[in-house]
Amino acid sequence: MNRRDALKGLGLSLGYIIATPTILSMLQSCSTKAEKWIPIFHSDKQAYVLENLVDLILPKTKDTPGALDVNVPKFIDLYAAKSLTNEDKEIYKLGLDAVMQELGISNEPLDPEQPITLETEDFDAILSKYLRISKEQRLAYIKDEHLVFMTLLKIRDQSVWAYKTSKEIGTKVLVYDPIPGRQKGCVSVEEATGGRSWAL
Amino acid sequence: RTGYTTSAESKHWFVDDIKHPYNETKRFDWMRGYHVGGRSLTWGRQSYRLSDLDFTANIKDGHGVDWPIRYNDLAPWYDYVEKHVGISGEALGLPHLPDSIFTPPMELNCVEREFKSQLASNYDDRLLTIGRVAHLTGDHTHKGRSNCQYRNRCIRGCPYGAYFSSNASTLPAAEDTGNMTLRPNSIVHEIIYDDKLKKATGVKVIDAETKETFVFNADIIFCCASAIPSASILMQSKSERFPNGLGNDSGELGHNIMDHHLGAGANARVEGYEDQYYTGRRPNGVYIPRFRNLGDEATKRKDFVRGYGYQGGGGRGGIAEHVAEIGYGEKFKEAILNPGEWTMGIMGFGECLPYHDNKMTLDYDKLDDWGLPTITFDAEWKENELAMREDIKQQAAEMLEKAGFKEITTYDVRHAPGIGIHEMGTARMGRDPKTSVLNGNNQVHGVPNVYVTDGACMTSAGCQNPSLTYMALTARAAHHAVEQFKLNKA
Repeated sequence: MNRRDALKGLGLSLGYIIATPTILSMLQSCSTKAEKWIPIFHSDKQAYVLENLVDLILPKTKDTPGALDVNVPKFIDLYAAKSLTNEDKEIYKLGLDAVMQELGISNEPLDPEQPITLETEDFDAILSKYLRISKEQRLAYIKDEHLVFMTLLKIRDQSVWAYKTSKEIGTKVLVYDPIPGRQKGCVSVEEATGGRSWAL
Repeated sequence: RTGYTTSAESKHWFVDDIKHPYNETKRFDWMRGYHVGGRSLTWGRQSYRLSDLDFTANIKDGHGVDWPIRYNDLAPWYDYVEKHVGISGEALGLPHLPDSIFTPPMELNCVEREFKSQLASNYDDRLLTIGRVAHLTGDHTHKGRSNCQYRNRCIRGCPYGAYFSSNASTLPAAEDTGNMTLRPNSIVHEIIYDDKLKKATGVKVIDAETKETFVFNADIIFCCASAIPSASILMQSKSERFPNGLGNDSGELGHNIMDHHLGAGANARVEGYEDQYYTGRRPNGVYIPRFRNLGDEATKRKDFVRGYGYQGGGGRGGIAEHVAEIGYGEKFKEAILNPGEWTMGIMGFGECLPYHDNKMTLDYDKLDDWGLPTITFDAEWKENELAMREDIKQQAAEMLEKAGFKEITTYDVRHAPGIGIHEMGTARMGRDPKTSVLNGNNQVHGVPNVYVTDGACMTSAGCQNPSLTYMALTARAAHHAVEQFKLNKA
């Protein structure tokens, strides 16, 4: 089953399934690499939204794995649970609420009577609205501390961080050289790494 | 207080302030490590000689007291320690920043080279050089140590002993003599002064773990616990002759706390080097030597005395503007896997004047777990430091702008003193016992068999990273002690 289709399909079925692990197992069963995970910080609905957003931010392509392949949502969830200060946790929760609200998802626990009916296009729309913007617009959002924007930006930046520091990307996609042994100050990208960024 | 004291890779090198409390009349950020090797494992490794501009600074502008030594007194001892330590860097022949005995310099990257050549063409008085660092490079042999491997993981402690630390260098050398006894977990809290013999006879020690107490007797005592604890030990060492602390006839003990003020500077984005990159993770940056108040009219400032140097560097990282605008998706993912945009930043390290009222005291009402008094800090940056920071910020921005760099942003984060982790001055050297604690050989005035050779002894701060100077002063004082010892035996 195509992962994207599975996510779409879940829009219809999600509301009728209560047990989170089952939902996530369904999502996760589409990818052979992604680890099954149970969110410890995010609610079921938030985890569902997070997975959809992260998958669009860093999608799997022909040449390189996507964010879901290297467990980025689990990383973000763990990081939020274990490393954020209480104050930052509250801010992040408020931000997630704002994102959910803009997506039209209630803050209530999953209710069989009210299924989530979001499509990939809906997630794409919110990302496009807030992240594919001019610098001026971005600075204006930052100045206003626009909650939805700041939260999506945070998720985007954390996704990049988690993705690039994952073992798979860090050692196989980026150029990994744990003990360089020598230093050259000024060489071409071609000579240094052949194009990609250093992992470290 | 600062990020790396709590980060997973290095938090074990720093003491827990809750277990080792101190008090602040004014905020003081005190970073300490009480393990074997102490801060030699976590230091910044930047190593610069002081010059006569520094040794004559106090006498010339009237702040503090005159240093009892001049550059020529210390120069041979800089040579001596540099051969042992290994300092990599570039010789410049500047009178106010004397060259060390260098091993080959690390390399500037392309953007730093551009900045260097821009500075040279835009200014007569400024230049940029690679940082001078205590890392082994080149082909000299240092027993038990090997060259820098460019991993930039120094904060974890180097398994190659590539940067100088007590653990990699001086402790093994001491062990080789067969005369070393190393006793960890020993809290020295008092130097015992014998009123009849008129000299110090030993030290009182508490075992940090068992709380057992000992006395170690010695003919010569070197007190090198770093500036604050060394002063604290002297202050706790009370006798009939020295009721206010050992060597404290002047009342200057614990006063004149200095640090370097940092956290002001500027950053810029650099275009035109997209095809260029680097190899290795250089554990070092660039240095722009001091160019203010060098003693001539051209460099004299009306708004502040003394000066500052810049440290900084260029590199590729972060998300470039054109990538940020893609926002997300396939093209975004492709872009973030390639080298990011070039940035260049420089931050000032400024001299702090010796102020008598910047001080530490002991609180005997608030004892620590070992029953010892806790330290109370009362120190602040004053007008001269704050005026200097304005200039640091402005000049940083101007230099980057003249170099043609883009989107220049300045910052001035006013940390409390202590943030430089260069505490100095609490038992200063001087010519007059009435105004200083130590003489020109680092001996405590009136107690010639006690030497203090850490940051406490500094009469002025300079703007250079001070560890190399402590090492040179220590070697010089140790030599003096040996000579005196032989003389007394003869």
